[in-house]
Amino acid sequence: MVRVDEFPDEFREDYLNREMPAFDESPFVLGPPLAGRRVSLISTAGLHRKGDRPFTEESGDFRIIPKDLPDEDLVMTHVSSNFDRIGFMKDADVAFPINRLKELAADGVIGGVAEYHYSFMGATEPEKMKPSVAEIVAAMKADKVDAVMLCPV
Amino acid sequence: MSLVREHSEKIKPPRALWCGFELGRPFGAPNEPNFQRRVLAEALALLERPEGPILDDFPDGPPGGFTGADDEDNEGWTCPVNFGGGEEPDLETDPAGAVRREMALLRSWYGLALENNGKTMVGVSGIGIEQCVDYLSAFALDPDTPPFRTDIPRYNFFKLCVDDLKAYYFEAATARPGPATDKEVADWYYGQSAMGEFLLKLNDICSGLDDPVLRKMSDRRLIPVHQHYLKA
Repeated sequence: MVRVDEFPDEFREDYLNREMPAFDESPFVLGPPLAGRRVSLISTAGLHRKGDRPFTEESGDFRIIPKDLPDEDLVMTHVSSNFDRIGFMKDADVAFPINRLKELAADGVIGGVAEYHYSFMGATEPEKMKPSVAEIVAAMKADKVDAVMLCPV
Repeated sequence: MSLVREHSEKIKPPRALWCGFELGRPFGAPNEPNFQRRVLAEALALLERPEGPILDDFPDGPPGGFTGADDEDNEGWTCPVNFGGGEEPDLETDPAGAVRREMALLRSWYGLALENNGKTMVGVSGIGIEQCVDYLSAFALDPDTPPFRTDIPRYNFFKLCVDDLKAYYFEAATARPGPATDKEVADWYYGQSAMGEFLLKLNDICSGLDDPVLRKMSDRRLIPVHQHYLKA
């Protein structure tokens, strides 16, 4: 298994003590009830459509994943070898729960599923992702998204 | 979603649900839709909480617990094939032959995985799996061998070939029903297959190259940290 507590000592310390982005405050906003929200997923698993450009080292760019992309057309080119991929091989929803999100929408738990979802390749300086975030925000506004789930690996 | 609580404590996002699952499995376990939906719904429910920042802990581990060698009730994963016996090409002089022999032994299991999973992660290199073997063995002889794709950097093409072969072995090795963890399969792949031995050799070659990215990749991109004890 791949759990941080099972990394060899020097890597575990390095991993846990990694410098994190520091913010002066935690933004906190309220919104409509969950049952009225349109939700989009942002993964950092290096996911993209089969045939789309693979992710490269330290890239801050992103890939667009349409809501109805067939499961078999979603692939992963994250650069790290230090997380489990067997789960994703068998079932993409273990990392990117688009089908579960659709079920929650069908059950009325959330208001709807966004047309587009997004993936970064998380082994990148967060600073490099900043320009991409502005692009995604604009796309999400056009897509009427008012809730985002950040899904790490 | 949070998989590393220590990181979320530092970042202080407005709303986070920490889950103590394996890295790579933020929604718990594959083919467990009810459990995945529960995790997702619990995280989304944080949106209705009026005050924050919130860092909640998901109360449960993944369905079936953490499978693996430390679980006494679980026999653990075992490889469906035996690479021993028969004519074995010499890895030093014929790495492509040694790897192809293993791939042939795994082929039927890979086919089963394809059928069960309804998909494959093999193919990200954009070339056939046989060509991945060709390129990596040519690289072992001469790292300046031109990559078979020129639209992406060499290091990227190299890594995608490595990932395709890993996906082929891992998918074949986990085709049989039953839980398998990354560490169990990796112990076999890196420690007991000719492909694993070949990867350790490629990693060693990369560590001595002038190419700064390939050299850096030899630190932990090609061989997972839990297999670093195998390095020369």
